[in-house]
Amino acid sequence: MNRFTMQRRIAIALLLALSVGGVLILLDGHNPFEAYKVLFLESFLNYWGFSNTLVKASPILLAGLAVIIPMRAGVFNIGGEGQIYIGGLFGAVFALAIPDLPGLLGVPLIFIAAAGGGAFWAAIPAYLKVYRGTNEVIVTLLMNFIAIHIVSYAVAGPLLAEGAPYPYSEEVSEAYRLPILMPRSDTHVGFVFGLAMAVILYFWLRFTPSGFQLDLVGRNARAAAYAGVDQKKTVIRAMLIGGGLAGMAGAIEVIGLKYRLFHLFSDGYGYDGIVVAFLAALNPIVAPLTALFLAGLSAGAGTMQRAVGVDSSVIEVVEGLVVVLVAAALVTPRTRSKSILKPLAKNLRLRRQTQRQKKEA
Amino acid sequence: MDPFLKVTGIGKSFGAVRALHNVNLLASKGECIAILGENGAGKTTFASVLIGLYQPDNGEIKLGGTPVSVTSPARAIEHGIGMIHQHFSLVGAMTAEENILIGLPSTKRSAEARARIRQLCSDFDFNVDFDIRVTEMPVGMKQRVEILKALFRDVSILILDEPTSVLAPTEVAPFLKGVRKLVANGCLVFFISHKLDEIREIADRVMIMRHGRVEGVLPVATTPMAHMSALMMGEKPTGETVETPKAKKARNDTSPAPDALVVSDVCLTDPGGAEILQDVTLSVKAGEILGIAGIDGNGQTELSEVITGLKRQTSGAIHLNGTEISSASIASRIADGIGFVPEDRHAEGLVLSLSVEENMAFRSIGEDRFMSGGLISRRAMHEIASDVVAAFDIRPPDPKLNASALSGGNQQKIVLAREVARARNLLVVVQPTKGLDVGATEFVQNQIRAVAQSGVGVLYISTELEHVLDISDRVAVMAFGRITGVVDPENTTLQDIGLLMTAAPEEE
Repeated sequence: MNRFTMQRRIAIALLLALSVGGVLILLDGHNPFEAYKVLFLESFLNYWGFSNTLVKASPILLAGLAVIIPMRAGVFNIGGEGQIYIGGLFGAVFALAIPDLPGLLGVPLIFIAAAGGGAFWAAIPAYLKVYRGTNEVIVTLLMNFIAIHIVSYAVAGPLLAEGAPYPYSEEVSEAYRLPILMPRSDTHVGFVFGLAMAVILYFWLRFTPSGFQLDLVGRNARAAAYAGVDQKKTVIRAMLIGGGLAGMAGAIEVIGLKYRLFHLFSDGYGYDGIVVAFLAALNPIVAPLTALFLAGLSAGAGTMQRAVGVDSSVIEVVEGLVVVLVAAALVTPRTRSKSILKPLAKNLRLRRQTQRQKKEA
Repeated sequence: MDPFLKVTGIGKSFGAVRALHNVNLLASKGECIAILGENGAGKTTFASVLIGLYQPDNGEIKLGGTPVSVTSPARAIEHGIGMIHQHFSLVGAMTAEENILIGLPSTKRSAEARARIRQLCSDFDFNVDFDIRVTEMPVGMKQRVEILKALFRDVSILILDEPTSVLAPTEVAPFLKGVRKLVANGCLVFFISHKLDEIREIADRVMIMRHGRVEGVLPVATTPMAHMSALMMGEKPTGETVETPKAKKARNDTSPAPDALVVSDVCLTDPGGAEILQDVTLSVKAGEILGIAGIDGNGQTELSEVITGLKRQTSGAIHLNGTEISSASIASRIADGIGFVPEDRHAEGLVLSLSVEENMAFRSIGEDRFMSGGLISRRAMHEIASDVVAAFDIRPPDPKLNASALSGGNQQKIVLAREVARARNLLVVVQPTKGLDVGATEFVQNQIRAVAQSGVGVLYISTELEHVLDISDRVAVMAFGRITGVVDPENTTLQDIGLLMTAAPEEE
């Protein structure tokens, strides 16, 4: 299946998800068109709404890239959430420990520290997969919980701010705070940073031997070995990059938005990243768009509830449907050759086959 | 009386490509019809329509006088139509029995069923090991399991897609015997093949296809082979460019060339302790084609992998142009100019989801010709691929197409073209003509000869004995992981080689 048909299928899946959401809104006694209009107007065409969308899109864009790169090498990184937490922790610790550097030096170093933290957190499942044969899906997923609790411990103990009513750290110094992109709003330059990353990664995959070889491993591991690509090294490299990207998302939350390390500071951004990645059909250059779309949905949900009276949980249903339907759109006999999507497609296909066999028996 | 199978006016297009055009056929029970044609002539598409993988755009299929619509392979089985594909659909982790009974209601998985499988097996003289999993079986045995699977479901029409291309020479005769038995029992067998001698031996009639049309349905007994071949190839003359033995001799008699490849005492033991390769010693001179003959699964594939670095030998040494490369990485052997056409082009030689031009480049991606200013030059990639597509007549001639969109023969050309261009010192080819038609086989052989003539040593590993004898300067025979003999193809008989191929391992 070529890229065009795949994108068309994903678009159809999106429309279907929105339609089912529309039916729910209708059942709730409201006009779905009105509700969606309010939602999208608010998220994309209203200054404050759009600023809100951008703020939400920044971490999930990086989290999406953190899924895309490992997936292109054939590894499923579900651990974005944990990598965000550890990245945020490393960034915050650096910022609080060395508070007096000039911003131009300090901010890059905070990003490097955060990327290092995320990469470290991703290195553990990568090592276990490559050298011990464990399943990366399970290890990355479970390590999320460990990471969340490490951060909760840190901000409730060693990093707890003086007199804080709630587990959070001291503020980072003003020099380290990310510049504001839209005046009078919270919107920092995080999304622009993510956009730059998306472009760099796109070119890396397409125009450098190392990027091309990473893609090769994901598409056909045996052919990659035959082409002399070191598969173990490539998988570890892909996971380190993924962890690093997610780690930087954590840093952006800390020095861009809250200026402190909070406990539970990431609201499932790591998981949103999985949706962003698959919506983008694993193409980094499309990820900014899908991140904006997803961020827009949740940013507009609240306004929709206030303005039209539709419960915002409808939007959560739509988000869930997007995941299911996009996955379904990628599972057809024609996707069989699209091996970068195989882990997902195979899983669903196997399930479908066993169901069919059960039915026949 | 109505014929058993009546196919009228079948047509099928894929986009702008007409794969089938007004195909008509009458066939009766107890008949074996060979389907002959070049790669991409529409043989497999026709078969796929019969078993319901594709729906025809127009036309009608009648079984026993009633029109049937075969909408899926499952419906085809209900109608008694089964097909054995070139790529098997077996579950590797299951045994033969489990594979045969898969998908059946549990009531039908009785001891009786198991007994029937064994009965079928002995009826048709099929050698199947019921104690091992499919992954552990040699290819020929997997195929027999596939056929048993169809027979067990009481098919009355069985389509065999190039069934002998995976078999060892010794397996072919018993297999054909089995097919004849099927036909004698009233089965209608379609036998898709390129091999005229096999068609001659097995088929009653031959249906010759070209560019999606039926060129003729002729009785085999009274049609000369040359006539069949001419119909199949259209006007293209055959046999013109085949190197004569004399030319081969002439190439041989030039002054002694240095050794390109020397393999000394190489042993390979698998993790389970089985000895896959035992003290293999051979050498290939620059400009020489050394053939390796042998029955499938006697260590030939592993030998190619050890030489190219995909597997590491347990002991022994490998030298390329006098330099030891015994423990060099795959990448460094690639850089040393070793070309390798692996046996499994789908799983290993190609990345089907990448375009033709990316496939032409992926094993050489760091090389200067694909780079500009430290980055991959997509333009160079495209230009190089366009040239190769033209030179190798790869169809359709669009380097941007996904490799999965090409037919098997054209895919094989991609792999060959890439490796021929890469091989500066050594070319290792494994089963390069597997599943190819007469014209494509000849083309591949000529390319390999040209590489040898340019001074590259060639290791030609194949189970198609005639091809090995035809192209090689010397032939080494492998059996049970050993080289059992090296012979001169000019002065040897098939019988001698047959003996070497089945030579029992010596007890030490």
